[in-house]
Amino acid sequence: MSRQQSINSSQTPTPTTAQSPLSRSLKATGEEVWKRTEKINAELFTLTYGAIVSQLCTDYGRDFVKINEQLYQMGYSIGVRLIEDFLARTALPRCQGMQETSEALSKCAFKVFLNITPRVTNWSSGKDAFSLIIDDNPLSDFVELPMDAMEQLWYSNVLCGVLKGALEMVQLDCDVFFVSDILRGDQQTELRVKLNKILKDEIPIGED
Amino acid sequence: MTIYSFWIFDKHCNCIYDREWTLLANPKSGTTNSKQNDDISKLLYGIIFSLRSVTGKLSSTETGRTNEISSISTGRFRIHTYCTATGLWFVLLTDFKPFNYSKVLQHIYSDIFVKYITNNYLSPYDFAQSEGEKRGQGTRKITNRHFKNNLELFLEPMISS
Amino acid sequence: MAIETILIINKSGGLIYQRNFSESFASKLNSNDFLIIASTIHSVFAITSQITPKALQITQNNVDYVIPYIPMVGMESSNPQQTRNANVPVKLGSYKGPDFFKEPFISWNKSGLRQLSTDQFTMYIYQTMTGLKFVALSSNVLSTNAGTMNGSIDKTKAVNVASQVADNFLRKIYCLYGDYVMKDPFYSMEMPIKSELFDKAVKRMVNNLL
Repeated sequence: MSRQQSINSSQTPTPTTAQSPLSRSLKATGEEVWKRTEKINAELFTLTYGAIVSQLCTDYGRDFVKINEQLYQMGYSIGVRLIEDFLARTALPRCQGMQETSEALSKCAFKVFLNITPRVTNWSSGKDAFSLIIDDNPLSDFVELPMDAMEQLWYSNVLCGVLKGALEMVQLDCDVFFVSDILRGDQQTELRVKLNKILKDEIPIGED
Repeated sequence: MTIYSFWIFDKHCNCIYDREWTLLANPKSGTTNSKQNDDISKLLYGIIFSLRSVTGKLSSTETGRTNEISSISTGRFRIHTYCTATGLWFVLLTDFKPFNYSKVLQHIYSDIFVKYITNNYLSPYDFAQSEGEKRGQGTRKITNRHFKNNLELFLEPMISS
Repeated sequence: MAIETILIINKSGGLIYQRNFSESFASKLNSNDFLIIASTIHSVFAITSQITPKALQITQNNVDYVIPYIPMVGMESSNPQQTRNANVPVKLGSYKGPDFFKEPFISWNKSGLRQLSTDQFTMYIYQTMTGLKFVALSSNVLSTNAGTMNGSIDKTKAVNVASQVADNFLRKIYCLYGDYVMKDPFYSMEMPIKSELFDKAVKRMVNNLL
């Protein structure tokens, strides 16, 4: 059963609030690019990730703090490379603020690579931090955490690293971390993205 | 077509004339030889010099002709250059509409510069002030009235149309 | 458009890829020369954004940065020998054919250097949002000589189309970079590219452009 079939099951009608033209076009871009990428079997993907996490558990002797850190580092190296693929595919112009960044992440980036569209909520007062609520995490299909892992392990921590690495390459220094995870018994899977600063010195010259 | 500014550089790496049109609707607006353009003239010289060295390296010597730059485009404007064998550079900053600016620059050189500056024995042909003057340090500019007037007359219809 | 050379410059100005595609003037230069050329281009690129004329600063006229999509730049052309394989989709790495992208796109490079025309070649530069620069040297000479009225309209189109084709082409090289270089686990970031697959794909695309 490929991801395509599970798309159909997850397309429940969501209440459409007034969408800006930008978010509509981001959604369209995300859909278009998703259609034009080669796909692999979703089970293979889930199993591969599961194998990585369980091997890390063995290697680090169930020291979950270290495992979280290692998953984050792996995600970081993926993120700094994945951003080039994303930009080459979509050629999105630079986002004008965290609002646009959150839209681009949820409607375009997650759609293109994982075929999910997390919801953006919990904006901070300065509009520089937001949460992504992931409803159907493809990394953790069929996964159940053992009792000792439930206290400390963030199973999908690689996603935090990916976001951190990718955003850093477009000159946004952010902190990305999990707030809650369904696997740990919480209500929902929530990822928090917080902007530290814009790396103005590193913005490529010629962009105004 | 639209012209934003006009510059002349000599073989001592100095800018000896610069004319900028700030309000394109009014061809009489703008500055001539202004001090503010000193820094910009040095940057412009640097850009053209560096790109000439790049194109020089990348040129083929088969045809015997040197590889001269005709234009440099950025996202917002275009730089046209005409470099003479005597080390004079005539530079125009314009918009993107295609137009034969190299003919314009050649005309400025042959009919205006040569006529009023080079052929005029009472005006210096070499704008360096002394023997020991270092490259890029000179400040003497073209002040010849005839040159300026004829230049304005020639370029006026092209400033903005 | 005949491409002679392709250079890729990383965000610090170092040359990470250089390939010549024909026996031309560029082939007598050694790698040191190209390193110097790359860093010169990188620094000039930075300076050009500083000399915007005052007239432009005042009026801020809206230059159109949108680059239209030009179909099948660098893709397999349809000739009689290949119609047999028309049903077999072209393998484009992680992209489902027939082409890498289909929409017009906005250039990220607004005030940096984009094109350099000389008597013997034309150089096009495409900068990505991450600071990577793709440089293509083409032996086509662009002349903006407007002769007669009719000639000038054709030349206008030719000049515009040439730079749009170059932008489309360099974005596809960027797509190939995202695939064959970024996804190679043994490639270290910002280091010279030594990937045969990438070489082959770029060569294929350059040949298709001729």
